[in-house]
Amino acid sequence: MSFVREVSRALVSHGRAVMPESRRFWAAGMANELDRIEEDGAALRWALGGVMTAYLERVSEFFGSAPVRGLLLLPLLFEVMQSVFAQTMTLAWRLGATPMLGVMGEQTPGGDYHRFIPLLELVPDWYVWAGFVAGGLVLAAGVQLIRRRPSAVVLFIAGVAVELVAEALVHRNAAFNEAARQVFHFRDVQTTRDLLIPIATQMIPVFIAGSLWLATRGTRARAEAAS
Amino acid sequence: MFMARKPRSSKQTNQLLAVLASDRERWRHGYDLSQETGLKSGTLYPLLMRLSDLGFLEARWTEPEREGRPARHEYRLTEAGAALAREQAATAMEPTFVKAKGVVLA
Repeated sequence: MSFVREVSRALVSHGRAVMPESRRFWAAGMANELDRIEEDGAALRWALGGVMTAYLERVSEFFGSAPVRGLLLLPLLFEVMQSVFAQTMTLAWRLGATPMLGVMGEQTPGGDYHRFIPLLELVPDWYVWAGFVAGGLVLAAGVQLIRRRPSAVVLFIAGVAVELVAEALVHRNAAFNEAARQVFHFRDVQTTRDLLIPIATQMIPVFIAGSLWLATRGTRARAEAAS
Repeated sequence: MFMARKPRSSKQTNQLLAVLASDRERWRHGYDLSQETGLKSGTLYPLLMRLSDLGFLEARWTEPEREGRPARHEYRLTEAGAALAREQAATAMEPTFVKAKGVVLA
């Protein structure tokens, strides 16, 4: 037996071990086809596809489990909060809700809402509502995640897209840009505040979208088959 | 009550349904399906699993043709799967109107 064939056999056998219990029937079916493939290269490609399928099923099973889906709600809620925080602050400013502004300001870098006033004055209405729409979509994605519905991914991506488009449009205003630059400018540079948190903030949606896909892929079909 | 939903209609799903529906009574092996559809195992098997989960595909073990060879899986569409394949084929064959130089072509 050639080396490539041996590797292929080892791979399909690994795939069978990795595949979740509920899918073992399929792993065995894939593995047993290997003997019918004459060309070694084709056998290796077949085996690699089998291992990939097995890992995908295993990871999906993990992400689809109730405790993991519960944990995934945390970054989703963080996204919702991020979408509506500035908008809520703007509304509070416009409604004169000073105590609420004070509490919210304490949660911001610098710990005081007063420094945001020039920015709050310039925020357009549509930007405020876009934030709430984005937050609503992400919240709906959370509900669909609990229900293990694949639409969670679409809703989440739609929410992030609304936020990104709104962000891009609002920054076309030069006065807004200048106010934002001043509000978020700090004399001292802090690695966590100025580098790590912004990078993490950008990466979290990518992580969430991938996790939602894994947690909900094929689950409806499985659930219906089991019912 | 069980109600079969349709799988998401992708090009690959339609390819697979078309091949399986070309002779619904015939049981087919995984590798043969892969060759007929051009789908790699990593694409083919997740599709087979979903179709089976949704009640559109039957799967069974068959005895090996020769001693010493492992048993194989065979697949074919269920009645519901055949109906789905017909529906998908009809959708794919709906006339597309293309406007070219002011003439509507079907």
